Amino acid sequence: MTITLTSLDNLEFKVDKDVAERSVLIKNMIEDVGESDSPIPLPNVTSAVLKKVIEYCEHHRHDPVPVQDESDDPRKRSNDIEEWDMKFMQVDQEMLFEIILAANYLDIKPLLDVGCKTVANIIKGKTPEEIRKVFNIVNDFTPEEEAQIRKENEWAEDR
Amino acid sequence: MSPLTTTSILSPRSLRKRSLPTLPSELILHIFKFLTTPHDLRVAILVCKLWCTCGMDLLWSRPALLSSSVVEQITQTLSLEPSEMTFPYRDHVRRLNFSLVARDLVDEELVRFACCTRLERLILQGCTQITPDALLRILMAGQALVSLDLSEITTVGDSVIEQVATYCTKLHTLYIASCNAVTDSSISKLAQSCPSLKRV
Repeated sequence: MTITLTSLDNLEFKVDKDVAERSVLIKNMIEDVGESDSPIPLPNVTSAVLKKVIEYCEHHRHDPVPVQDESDDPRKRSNDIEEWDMKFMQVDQEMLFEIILAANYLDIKPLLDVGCKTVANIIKGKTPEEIRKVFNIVNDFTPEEEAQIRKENEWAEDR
Repeated sequence: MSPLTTTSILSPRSLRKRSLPTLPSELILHIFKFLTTPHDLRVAILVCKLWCTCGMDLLWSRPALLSSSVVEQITQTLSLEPSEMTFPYRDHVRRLNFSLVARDLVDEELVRFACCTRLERLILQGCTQITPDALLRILMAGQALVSLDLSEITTVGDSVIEQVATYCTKLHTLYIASCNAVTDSSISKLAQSCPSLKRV
């Protein structure tokens, strides 16, 4: 069975049901609506991003469905991204963030994790100023505020 | 210079250029969960105020007590007057594991953590220099403690267990391996005061 997805800019994408259902949001919508041919609107996702998301879901369509991870450990690994995913994530900053936002909205946890791991890997090893440059972030700390936070968190320097 | 308040840090000015979409806090937090070292988190919190607010809890909820100098630096921050502190750091601390600095930890250092009233898990395994007096100070602040490890602290006896019973009523796990001075009478008092107790 094919599902039709409509992006923000009104482009239609036909995908197989099992691919579309990698998104828990879409899966639930299909369950609610039942057997229906009407397209599912995704007003929060542009066609460029949706295309990438569908590409990811198609590649991973046979992956086991992720189980709810209730483990206590908040610190997860980021060095286990598979090669296809790494290539998939070689996009510009804006697309990277858009993919993360879309994965969050569509509730596709593996894609969200890959996106966030990718950003985490970009952050690692850089100074705050380097991170700001990469992500176009303006430093809104005063020098005094920055110095104080640095001092109060000096302990975290120990590796 | 006027003292920095928590509110000045928590009201970031949104000056980001429009070309890059802004991630909401919960997604910034999700990214930070993949930053595996305290060092990386510390860098992240210095990027801008939004990142700072997102990363602060993660950094302080279970600070890695890797060495005595780390402990010293943390206690310096915790000992600041609340009005001088940029963040209410003491309220974020939920898990403390002293086992890596166990042999060197002394009472004066331990009691400086007594301000962390939201502490949920405390591991003092092997901290043989700690005396019941210091333990009492920590336990008095331990109303949120659910898990406590006092293994190998041989000075722990019935009086300490009774204090645990008095102050830590939410406790569900207690480790007292090698605490040979503890007798059944204090354990039964503990069982009576701590309804969630699952394991001793």
